[in-house]
Amino acid sequence: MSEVLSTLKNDMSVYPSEVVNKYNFFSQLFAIVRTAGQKVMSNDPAVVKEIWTMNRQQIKSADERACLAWLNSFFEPAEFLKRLSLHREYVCKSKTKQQADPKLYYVEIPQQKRQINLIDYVPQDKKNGPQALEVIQKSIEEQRAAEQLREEKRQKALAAKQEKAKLAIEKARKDELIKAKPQSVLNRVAEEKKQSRIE
Amino acid sequence: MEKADQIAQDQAVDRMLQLYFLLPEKIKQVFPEKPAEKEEKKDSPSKQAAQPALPLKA
Repeated sequence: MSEVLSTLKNDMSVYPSEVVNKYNFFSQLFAIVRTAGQKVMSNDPAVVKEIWTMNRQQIKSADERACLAWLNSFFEPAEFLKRLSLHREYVCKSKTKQQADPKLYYVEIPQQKRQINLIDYVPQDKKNGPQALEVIQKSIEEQRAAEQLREEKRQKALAAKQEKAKLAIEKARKDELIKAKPQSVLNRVAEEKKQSRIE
Repeated sequence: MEKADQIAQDQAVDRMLQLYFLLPEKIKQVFPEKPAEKEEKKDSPSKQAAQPALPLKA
């Protein structure tokens, strides 16, 4: 992990400018969020957006509409799942934990660490939006359904292949019988001739 | 917030932001996608045969 991470910022010129802009924007924004008086950095999209609105002048970035789009996207459930899997793969050092169920992996990280290490998920719609564990559960179910669909397709393709092979064998047998028939007729004729000579 | 706590938080957040924004780009650069030969290559035996063999161990 450390090897990968230690080289990422070596040469920022290798990245597209939009990626660098986004990285710089969120770095600056979360630095301000961290100093906003709370003990642990807030991950609440509403709070982060408010802090951004108040400190827009300090953060060098693209136009406001683009920044807002970046912010909305960053707090989407799918993006949180990306961060969770990145943490699991590149930050976690325990193989056992890496192989654990994503929900268990998430729960085992203490809440305060989750906020910082994962930039944890807080639903944009606090009343009706799904909580982090529900988001993870949904992704697990979707993954399972996709795997099941893939397996069904694989089984169907295999059955079709077997059926095709069976038909090919049957056809080959029929062809062989057709070819074999004149030979048997010839044999019978030869046998009859032989018999007649003997007689 | 204590200074040590703050530094730890700064590092943890920066680590995640690097992984989230920079790593996917780095991966794209190291392993560039070739969309034209995605699935086809896996299925086609003739194309598989055309792939270079693994180097033999000395």
